[in-house]
Amino acid sequence: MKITNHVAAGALLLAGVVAAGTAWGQAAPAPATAPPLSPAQAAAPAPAPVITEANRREARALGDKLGWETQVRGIINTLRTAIIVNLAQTNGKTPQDMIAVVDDLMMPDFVGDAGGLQSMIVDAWAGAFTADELRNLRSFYNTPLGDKLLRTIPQLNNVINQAGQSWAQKVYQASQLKHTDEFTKRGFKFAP
Amino acid sequence: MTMRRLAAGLFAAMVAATAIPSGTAAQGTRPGQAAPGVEENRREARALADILDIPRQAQALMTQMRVEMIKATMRTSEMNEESATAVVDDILMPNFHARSAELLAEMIEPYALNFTFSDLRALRAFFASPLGQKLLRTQPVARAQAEQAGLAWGQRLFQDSVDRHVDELRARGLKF
Repeated sequence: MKITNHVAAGALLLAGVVAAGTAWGQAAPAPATAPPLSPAQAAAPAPAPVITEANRREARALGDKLGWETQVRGIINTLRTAIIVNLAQTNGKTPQDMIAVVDDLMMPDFVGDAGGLQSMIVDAWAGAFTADELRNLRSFYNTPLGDKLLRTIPQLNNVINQAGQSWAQKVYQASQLKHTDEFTKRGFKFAP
Repeated sequence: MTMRRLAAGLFAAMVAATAIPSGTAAQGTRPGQAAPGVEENRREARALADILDIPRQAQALMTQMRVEMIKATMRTSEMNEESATAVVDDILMPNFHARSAELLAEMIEPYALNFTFSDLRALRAFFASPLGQKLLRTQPVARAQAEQAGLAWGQRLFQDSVDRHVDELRARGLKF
C-alpha cells in the first residue's frame, strides 16, 4: 500500500499550510505562492548546495526562534489525520476504526523520525542563506518588531483568510443574483 | 456549489501573510470607519504590500479561484470542462475582476489596523533591504524544495511503517 501523493500533498498543504507561512517561511509574509516545480525538477532535484556546519548551526538557531519544532509536530499531526482518512477509505472502515491502528503502529515511526523532517527545514535554509545572513535574520526576529511579527502571524493569517472567504462569497452571490437567468439558460445548477 | 467551502479551501491553502494580534483584530476598525491615523497606516501598509508583492498574490488567488469554480461547476452542474469554463469566464469572472481591488484592500487592511505607522515603516525598510529582498526572493523556492522533501519524507515513512508492521496491520483487518 502506498500513501497517495494526493493525500500526502493535501496533508502538507493543510499542515498549517505547512510551509506557506510557517516552517519554511514563517519569517516573512510569503510574497507569492511557491512556483510549481517542473516535472524535471520534481523528478531530479537540483544539485544540493554546499551546506557548512556553521550554516546549519545558524539555521538551527533561527529555527529555534521561528518555532520549527512545533511546526514539525503540527505537520506530523496533519499527516496522522491524512493517513487515518486514507486507510479508512482504502479499507472501507470509519476513520474512528483506524485511530488506534495508526496511533499504536505507525505514529511512533513518524514521531521517532521527526528530527529528520526538521533537518530538511534546517538544510533548506542553511543552503539558501549564508551564516551571516541567517544570524542577521535571527537578530531581526529578536527585535521587538520582529518578535511581534512572529507572534502575530497566525492571527493575521486567520483574519486574511476570513476576509478573503467573505469577499469571494459576497462576489459569488452577487454574481448569482445578477445573472440568474443566464446561469439557468446555460444549465448551471446552484447547490441548495 | 458550496462557495463557502470552496473559498475556505482556497484561502486556507493559498494565503500566507504576516501577523496580527487577535485582540486587536477583533476590535479592528472596518473600512469606512477609520480611526484617526488609520489612513496614514493604510498608505504605509499599501507601500509595504507592494514590496511584499501582495497584489500579485491577490491575482494568483483569483486565478486559483477560477480553476476551482470551473471544477465545482463541472461537478455540480454536470457540465463538461469547456461549458463550465465558458460559464465561469463569461459570467462569474468579470464580477470577480471588477471587484479585485476589494480583495486587495481586504488583504492589506489587517496590516494597517494591527501595526503602528512606525512598525509598518520599519517593516518596509527591512523588506526593502538586501537581506529582506533576498528573504522574499528565496523563500518561495526554499519552500517548494522543502515541500518536496517533506512529501518524500512522509511517503517514505509511511511505506517503511507499513512494511515494518504488515503482519500486525493485517491482523487488525487492514487489506493491502
